[in-house]
Amino acid sequence: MTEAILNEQELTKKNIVQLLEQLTNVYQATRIERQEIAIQFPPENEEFSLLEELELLTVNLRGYASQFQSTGRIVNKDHVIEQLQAMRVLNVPQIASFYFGSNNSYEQIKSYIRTLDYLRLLLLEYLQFQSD
Amino acid sequence: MPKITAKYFSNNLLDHAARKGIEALKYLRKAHNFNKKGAIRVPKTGYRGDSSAVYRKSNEYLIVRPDQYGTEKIITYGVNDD
Repeated sequence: MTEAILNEQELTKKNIVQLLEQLTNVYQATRIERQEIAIQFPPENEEFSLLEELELLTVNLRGYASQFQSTGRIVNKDHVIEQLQAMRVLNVPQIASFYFGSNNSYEQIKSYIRTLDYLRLLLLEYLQFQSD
Repeated sequence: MPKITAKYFSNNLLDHAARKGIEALKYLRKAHNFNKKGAIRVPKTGYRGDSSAVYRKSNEYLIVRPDQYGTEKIITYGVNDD
């Protein structure tokens, strides 16, 4: 049983590292769509723009994942679990409105958004496993 | 949010530069050369609930967050049409 749990944790760990690489490739493939989005969804004065919100989420999630990749752990686990739970990608109004509002377009960015949220869930799963 | 330490900063710098397909030092230089003077800041004062703020100037933006001493630190730098 313990061995099975260890293997499962090991798999999640590998999955996180692999997903980090995959996200880099998906991000780079979204360049043309990002250029269009910059025009179609420009920043409004009092809010973060869609691209800025996406960048911030990317930085936060990749920050945790990179820390995990380079050190094999994430410090301040309980706090990070709380943060990750609050960081639901579709909880960000600009992202939700874009994701559900632009039917059949920007599929690369939508795929990027889903992959980003998957990374969040994997990190959460790994940390919650550890806290049991 | 991830705590800003020197190691976190250097890891992230390399990570962001690779993601954006730009050489790390060039990325660092661009981020540090961003001139906040005359940039639009959101929110105008203070920080959002997640402790972040963005500076915008032409097609560039800089997202910042205060560290534990209240000093504003660069979280990321981007170009909207890049």
